[in-house]
Amino acid sequence: MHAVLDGAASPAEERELRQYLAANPAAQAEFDALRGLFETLARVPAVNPPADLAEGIVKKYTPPYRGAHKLFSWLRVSGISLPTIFLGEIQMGQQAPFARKRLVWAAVSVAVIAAGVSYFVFDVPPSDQLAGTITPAQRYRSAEPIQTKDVKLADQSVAQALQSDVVVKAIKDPQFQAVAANPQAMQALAANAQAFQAMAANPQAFQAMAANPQAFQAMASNPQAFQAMAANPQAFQAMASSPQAFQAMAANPQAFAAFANSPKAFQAAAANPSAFQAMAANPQAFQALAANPQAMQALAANPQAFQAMAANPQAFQAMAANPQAMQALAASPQAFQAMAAHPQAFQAMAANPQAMQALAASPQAFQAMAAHPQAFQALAANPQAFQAMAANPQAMQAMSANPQAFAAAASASMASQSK
Amino acid sequence: MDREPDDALVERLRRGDNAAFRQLVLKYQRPLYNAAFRVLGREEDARDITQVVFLRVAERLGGYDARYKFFSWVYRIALNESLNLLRRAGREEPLEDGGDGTPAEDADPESRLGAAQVSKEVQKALMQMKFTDRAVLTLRHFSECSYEEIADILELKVETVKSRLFEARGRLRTLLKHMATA
Repeated sequence: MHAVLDGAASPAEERELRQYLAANPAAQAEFDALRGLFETLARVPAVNPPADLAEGIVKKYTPPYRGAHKLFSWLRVSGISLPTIFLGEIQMGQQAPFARKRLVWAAVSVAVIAAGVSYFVFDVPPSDQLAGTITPAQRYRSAEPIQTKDVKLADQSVAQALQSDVVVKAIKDPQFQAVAANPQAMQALAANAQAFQAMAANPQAFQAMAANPQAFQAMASNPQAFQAMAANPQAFQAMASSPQAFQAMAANPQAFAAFANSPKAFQAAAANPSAFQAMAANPQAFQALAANPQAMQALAANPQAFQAMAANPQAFQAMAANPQAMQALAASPQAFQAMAAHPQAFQAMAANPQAMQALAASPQAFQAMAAHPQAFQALAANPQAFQAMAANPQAMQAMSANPQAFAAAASASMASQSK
Repeated sequence: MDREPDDALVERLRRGDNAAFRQLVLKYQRPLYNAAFRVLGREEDARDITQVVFLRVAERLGGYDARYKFFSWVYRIALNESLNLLRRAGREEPLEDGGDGTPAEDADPESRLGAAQVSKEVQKALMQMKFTDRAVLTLRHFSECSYEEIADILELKVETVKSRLFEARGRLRTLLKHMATA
């Protein structure tokens, strides 16, 4: 009764109820009473919110980046902009004494940050090439060897500062573009997991960074940064759900190659089901990736990375739906072999006629596939895929040159026909 | 009227587009206000809750999972905040009397008086029920959510939603019958 009155019953269920009610007066009375309740509730009018409610809410709305604006405001008052911090172009203009004092302090801070970043991030001077380069001349050596207590580490506040909320807030500021334009600054940020997570979770910041090839390369060359992102489903999702950010990354072959060539980074992403699903579940993002032959080539050239993707049928299907991506894949025997080793992935591809056509047009890919009986069986078990293959003489030739593959295909074909 | 999907508006908001926030407010203020009024019974509380919902949206946008509907998310926040408000005020137990609300101006003027009376009686009955009953009845009958949507908002199974609706309707019928005969 409730389902019928709620409009959630099927026509058959409704018919069944009508027949039942026709034969049961008591049930009919109950149904009428219930319908009366529905009618009463339907007569309850909507209430009008106060006229000023919406405007009041909008006025009270504080963009989440207000804190960072304060930081930038302070820097502007001091005559310092973010680019000057990162580029070291501090200009001594006509400052008031107080502002000048603050500027001196800021300059000192910049020097400390620069020293710290150089020491901790860029490894300057290189820690593994110290011998023979900075050994003091004999005349400057002390008679007593240097003790541990004599060694003072660089200011730890630099490392702490990079972990602080200030960095996170700075990333969220619209002026982040100025930072993103600076590869060194980006490298420093990329070395910081917390900072990176904040950046990846902020599509605007991510776009600013991804739009700058140099900056992206600096970041992409840091597996830790990608791991940090991949380990954070929210961050990864933020990136994957931003087609523009993803496209920017996919459109940058160097950046993508850096990512795809870092098995640890890619594995970290691929090993995180929710992160990978987020990417794979976003057709626009994945299409952006798949539509970029260079990016796909970079990906395909990395068997480990490819295996990680091939193990995810959803992701694979998205890729298989793109002929260009498939061609890039088919042109890489290594990638193809990696894929062929995953029956699930292969089935996803075989079920896609467009993908099969792209594949069938590549003898190299076919040869690579023919070397994998399992892969071939998966393909042959799919009538559509088999037809696409059979219609291509080159493909058939490649297959027939491999007895194992042919036997596998034949047995699979026989099995599917006997079903 | 702009019919931009919620997902697109949320994405714009995440990119710092404040106009998207305004659009979401304009789209949801009325349904949220109505839902809050039906479960709380006071217009000033409904106003507060509607404001709080959008405050929470701004605060928690980073944690919003785009796989779920924005619609379900804001309703869930509204109901949770409503329950919190009742608990803080020690009003979790059913009230003796509730407000009646001002009928919307787009209602038929001739039936407005009758509708106002119906609204008052139904609201009075609702306020004598448990919060969970009010929530499920409000979502179904005033917010016009489907079983699936209610299940999503209340994080329940669809079958549980159906059984809760069945029981809540039974209790509401009894209350309205008593009020009619009193």
